[in-house]
Amino acid sequence: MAEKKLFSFSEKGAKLRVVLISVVVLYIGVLVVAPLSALVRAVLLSDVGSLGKVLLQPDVFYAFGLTLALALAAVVLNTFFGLIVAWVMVRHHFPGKKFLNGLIDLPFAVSPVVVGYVLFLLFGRDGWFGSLDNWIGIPILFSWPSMLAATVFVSLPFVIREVMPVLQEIGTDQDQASYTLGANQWQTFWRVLLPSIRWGLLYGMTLTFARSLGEFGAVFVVSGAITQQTETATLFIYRSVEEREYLAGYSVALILAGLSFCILFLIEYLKKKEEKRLTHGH
Amino acid sequence: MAIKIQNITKQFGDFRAVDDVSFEIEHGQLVAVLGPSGSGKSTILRIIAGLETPDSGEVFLTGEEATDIPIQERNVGFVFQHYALFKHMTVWDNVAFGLEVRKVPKEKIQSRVDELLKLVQLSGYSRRYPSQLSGGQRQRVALARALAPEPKVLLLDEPFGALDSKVREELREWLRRLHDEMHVTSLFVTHDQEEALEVSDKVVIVNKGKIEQIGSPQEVYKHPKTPFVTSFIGPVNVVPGRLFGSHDETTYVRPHEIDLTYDVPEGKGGKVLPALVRRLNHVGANVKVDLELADGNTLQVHLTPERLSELSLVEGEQVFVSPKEMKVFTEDYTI
Amino acid sequence: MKTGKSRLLSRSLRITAITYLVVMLVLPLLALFSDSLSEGIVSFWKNMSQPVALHALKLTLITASVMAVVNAIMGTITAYVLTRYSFFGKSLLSSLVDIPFAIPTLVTGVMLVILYGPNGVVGTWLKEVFNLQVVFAPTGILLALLFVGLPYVVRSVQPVLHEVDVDQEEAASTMGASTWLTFRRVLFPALRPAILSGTLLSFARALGEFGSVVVVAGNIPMYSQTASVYIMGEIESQNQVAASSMSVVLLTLSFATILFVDWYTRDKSLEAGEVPEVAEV
Repeated sequence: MAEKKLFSFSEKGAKLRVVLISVVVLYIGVLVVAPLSALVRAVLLSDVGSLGKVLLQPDVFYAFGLTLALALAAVVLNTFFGLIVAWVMVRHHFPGKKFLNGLIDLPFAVSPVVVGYVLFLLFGRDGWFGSLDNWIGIPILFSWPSMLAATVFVSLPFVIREVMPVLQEIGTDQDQASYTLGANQWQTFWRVLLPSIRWGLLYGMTLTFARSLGEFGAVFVVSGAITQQTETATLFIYRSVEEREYLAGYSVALILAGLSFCILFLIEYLKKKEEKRLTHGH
Repeated sequence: MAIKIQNITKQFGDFRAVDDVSFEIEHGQLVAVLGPSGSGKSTILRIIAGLETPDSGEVFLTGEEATDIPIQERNVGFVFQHYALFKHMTVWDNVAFGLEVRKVPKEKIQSRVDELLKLVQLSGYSRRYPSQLSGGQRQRVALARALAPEPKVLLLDEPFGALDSKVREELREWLRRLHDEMHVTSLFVTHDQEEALEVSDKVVIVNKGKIEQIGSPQEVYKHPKTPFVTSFIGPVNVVPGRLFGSHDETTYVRPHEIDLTYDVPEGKGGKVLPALVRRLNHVGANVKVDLELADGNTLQVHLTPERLSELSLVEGEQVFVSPKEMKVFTEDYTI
Repeated sequence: MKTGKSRLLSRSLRITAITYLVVMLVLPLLALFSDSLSEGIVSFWKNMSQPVALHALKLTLITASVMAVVNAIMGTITAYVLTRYSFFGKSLLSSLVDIPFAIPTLVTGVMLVILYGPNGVVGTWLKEVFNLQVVFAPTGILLALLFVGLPYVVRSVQPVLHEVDVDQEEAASTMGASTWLTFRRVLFPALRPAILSGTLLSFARALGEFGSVVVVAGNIPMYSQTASVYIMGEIESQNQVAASSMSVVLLTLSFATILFVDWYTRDKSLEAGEVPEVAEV
């Protein structure tokens, strides 16, 4: 009797398994795979000659160069400040810490358009920093400084949020040990702390880079999207689609998607490495 | 003096972890700071190392005032309770770290690290990572790492606390031998009285942030000065009221310092008490005898198997208890 | 440890961190709020109660809510399949789930237009057979939001499912509970916090989504224009007060959602006995 019940359960379980797997495969197929293949197909269906022609435009090179430069600068800034913020958030106690900690997630929540708009307000003619560009001598709005600010803003939380738990976990023992062995704070940072958090940090930096590459809304608002001046890869795609230059738009979109995939694989690799370190560490 | 602390006090919020503590340690000694958890013993150690700043009081290392010297310049070796090995470095790199940050020449580092790894019997393990070692091996790496920069004093925080009992015993014998070879002044913190008494030259017993007694293992065991020390060091029978005499006192008798007889021994007139044998427990090297005194108090006595067979005790029998040694403290002491 | 030099370093690190966060996050917030109220609360209300603005907000809330519900269900099922079953192609499927995190949202929009647009294979077919217009319509917005929100629920539920013992499920089912009852009574209560926080995060994200929506929606006022696209339009037509008002509403909604999730999950982790603070150096 009991055996029969168990059997019928497992048969039912097997049926359920097939149904659930099919549902998920179908869902992700329709939602993710189909649009992706449509993009690949659209680009591959075109002839090589015209594809080469659109991709070799100076606009495309310029757009990718600008995107990479902005993303790299955002990674550098957010790594430097992100490390300090993560450190202070984990190791220090001060009034208002909880409030600031909650605020760190703000860029995850705000619409990119709002981010761009706020920068527009701050640096616009009547804005609080409206005269800053006269003061430093280079234009901020509709130029790279505001685009960089937008990119840094939207990718701000990643390093902080990846490094904080790792710092929490390693505690203070290792750096105290380092101090008792005669190392100063600089040596302790480079030789003890940084190696211990390196995978988390690298993971956060990769996420920052990926997010920066794909930023569109915020940069769109503050850049003015001037070809070969403030046009990033995503802005190029948008302009191409608007102007019905579909092949150019699609092929740059495909390259950007490809780049994102590479980053995604890098992230998965880093994650595995981190997991391995954790299981290894016991 | 290798280490001297004077009137050290440290408060964490409302909690006074260390309360006006002073002691001195001579060169080359191996000293245990013994106390229950939360007694402030680790805080004392961390203050000596410079990992904590005292609220008041002074620390002297090899005769020099060190209270305001940063950790890096104190040149103390510190072995952390959970070793705090650098997980991303090999055994060799861990041991070499303290020398490298001091910019010691390469060849010298090489020979010193090799020498230390040999000393801690880990020569074959230099390229392993901490995660590939057993607890005892990690402990030895931590020790070698702390010894590498030739520290003035060696501080060990519960050095055997995280190990299982067998490894623990081996390691503490080994630590004693190592200390006899190296003669580095060493101070270790422990909550295990057996460990403290067995390994050290001198024991500092702390309770609730204060020192209860300082002395050789012999002294603190034979002549405990306070009820706390008496009951913390080794098993003891605590009998309210004086066994022989007045009431407002408490008597402490160690179970193996009591003899049992069937008759009142000659010449011992008033120093014996009648008791009833309640239970015999033969487990272990000694036989544990549970007794009930006439006033209802219970008493445990440890007898050697030889003495037991001489007596041929049976549960339910009436015997006479004659303590060979006992301590009496007035009752306003609290334990 | 607390020598003069290290105290100085410690203090300057703290000042740097706080200044960075204040300049990057607090200041922009203040600027936005002060601008939206610069012409008084009355003009704020007047702007928000205009039909175009109201419709945009309503459309945003509805599409984000529908997405959240679908995402909660499908995300949980996906997480279940990815943790409880092993089958051919599972790791590929798992990687596919992360794609929306990696891919630029504008590219997402472009892909959807290619597939479902008036010239797309599926788009023309749907139009002819079902007379269903996906792109340049609210349906397209929903599709884009579903794509963007996909990883949130899956990735927040998966680790919890890992923790929950299969034994519990099996125990329940050997006691004669049906699969549905087992899920409802044993599994769901354990998963509820994770499902809720994943869903709410995707909801907050969807409220502000721009890149994919701007391409897919067609942005027809009173029909397929969402709040963020509305803001864009108002910026372009230099209607600052309108842009500011909608920005404040959008930001408040999504940030409140995120803060709620933050508070909700932190409470849970504290209950689990985690000690988040470490001694200061």
